Amino acid sequence: MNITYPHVIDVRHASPTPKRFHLRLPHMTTLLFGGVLLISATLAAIFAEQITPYDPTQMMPLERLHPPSLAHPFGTDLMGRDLLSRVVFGAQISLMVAAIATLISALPGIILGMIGGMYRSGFTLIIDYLMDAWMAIPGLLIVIALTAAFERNPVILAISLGIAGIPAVYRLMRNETLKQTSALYIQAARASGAPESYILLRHILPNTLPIMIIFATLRMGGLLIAISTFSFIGLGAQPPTPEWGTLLAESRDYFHQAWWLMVFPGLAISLTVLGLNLLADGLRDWLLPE
Amino acid sequence: MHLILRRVVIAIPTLMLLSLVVFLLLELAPGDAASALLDVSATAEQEAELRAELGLDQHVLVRYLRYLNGVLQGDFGVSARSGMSVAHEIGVRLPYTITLIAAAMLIATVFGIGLGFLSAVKHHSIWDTGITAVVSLGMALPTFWVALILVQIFAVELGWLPVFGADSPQHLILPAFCTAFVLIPGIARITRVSLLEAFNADFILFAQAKGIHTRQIITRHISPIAAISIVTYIGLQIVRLITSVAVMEVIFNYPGLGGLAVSAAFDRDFMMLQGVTLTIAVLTFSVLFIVDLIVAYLDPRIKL
Repeated sequence: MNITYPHVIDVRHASPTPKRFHLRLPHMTTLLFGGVLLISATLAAIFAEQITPYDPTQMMPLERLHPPSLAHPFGTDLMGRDLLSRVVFGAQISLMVAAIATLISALPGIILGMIGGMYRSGFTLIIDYLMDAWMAIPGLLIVIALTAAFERNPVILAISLGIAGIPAVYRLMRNETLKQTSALYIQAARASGAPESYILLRHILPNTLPIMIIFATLRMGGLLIAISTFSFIGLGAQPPTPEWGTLLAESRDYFHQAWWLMVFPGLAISLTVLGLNLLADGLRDWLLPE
Repeated sequence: MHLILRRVVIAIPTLMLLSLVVFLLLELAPGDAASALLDVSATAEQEAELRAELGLDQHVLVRYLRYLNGVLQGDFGVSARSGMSVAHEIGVRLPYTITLIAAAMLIATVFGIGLGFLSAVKHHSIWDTGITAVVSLGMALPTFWVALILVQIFAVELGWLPVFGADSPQHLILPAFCTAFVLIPGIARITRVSLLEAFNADFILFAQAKGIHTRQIITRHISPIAAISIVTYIGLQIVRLITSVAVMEVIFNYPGLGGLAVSAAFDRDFMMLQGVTLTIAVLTFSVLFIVDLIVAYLDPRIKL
């Protein structure tokens, strides 16, 4: 006779009750507004060649420092290059560098963080110590050391910012993993003999996903600002590459004659970062209501 | 005591590790101090001679240990750019950077706490909404852009403030305010949240029930709690602040360490670079240490 125990559930697969993500109106507006800003910046970056009216590096000596007009909605710069095209192409570099830097911080940060949260051993203690130490080193020093040793370009900048961001991801992931491992369902899974790798990949990783997505969104905003800042002081993209920071660096001495050179690239950075911040806020209220 | 020891125990090996990493990193870079000092016309023999003189023909680790030994005796080597002692140049610029950091932190605390306090006390009013909106916006603005625009308005158009240099206290206003701008939105937000949290705590309700005056509740009961989280937040942001200080130094041509570090990166002045990165790291640890002491002083649960 085959006996079934209807009240016994297979705890190996018992995750906490799946959350219902209810969208309420205030979240909707922040999410929507942030999403629209970010998606337009991303689309602009992807389709830069199709939507820009001019080549971003094409100089038109007869149209130097033209104020915004129908032909040049953002005006032209000192060399007669179309500012709108340059700002749109700037999105390409900024978003690409931010994405690379995020990946470079995320992969080691997440893997080490999960290990650090799961196990206590000599190895994790050393990692813990190194991350603490790394966290206290200003990102500037990492950027300066790497750009001096190699080259001043967006790739080195992305790598430096990515390396500088590892400990923050590690901390968050480690704390989240620690929180999860003490949860009852993980103990249940352990008790029923689920292998550690299964617990890590099927239980802990998915449950830390919302907070990691929110963190990455916020981080991207900070990275966009850092990228343009370092390019502005000359440690990232170099002119004539159209990058938001270098565009602002070129605008410095011409504010009096050409305010648009300083206003539009700055607005582009601010609106994209605002979009990311709003998106992160909306996602947090939506995914982590507590 | 435990806390102080812990900080020092973390700081010293970290600084050693940092200096080693920077040393090895610059080792990987093409060219060395000898080729930076000589001009193109130098012969191979001259270069080899200089290399032997500078000790560059020795093993990396030997050179690192010698460098470390020098640093411990206050000798940071010679700048390839200016030919001057690195320690001297750092010594000249360090006070400027410390002044800028102190001024920026002062401004950030005053403005941040002021805004946060206002929006918490006037919770759910037009003030609260307005300040929250401004704070969210402030978080999205790149500081160097704000700095560029403020320079144009207050220095170039209105002529109220000097633009570059550090000859007078007025020179400090714009760089300090712009550096502070990085921290103000965050401090305002954390102040608002921690005050609102404290307002709803049971012991505050109890104090109100006892009939204690609101002003006294705020100064005696709520402020100490809020102060702990604000100072802790500032501590967490120090590393960002240091980066921002350096950027502002470059923008305002302020004679501090950050500007020195950036120009050393441009010139590939490796001795200078090592000295400055080490000094900035020491500076960061010192500020973190001071923040720790303040938190320990404010929070009776932490024993020194």
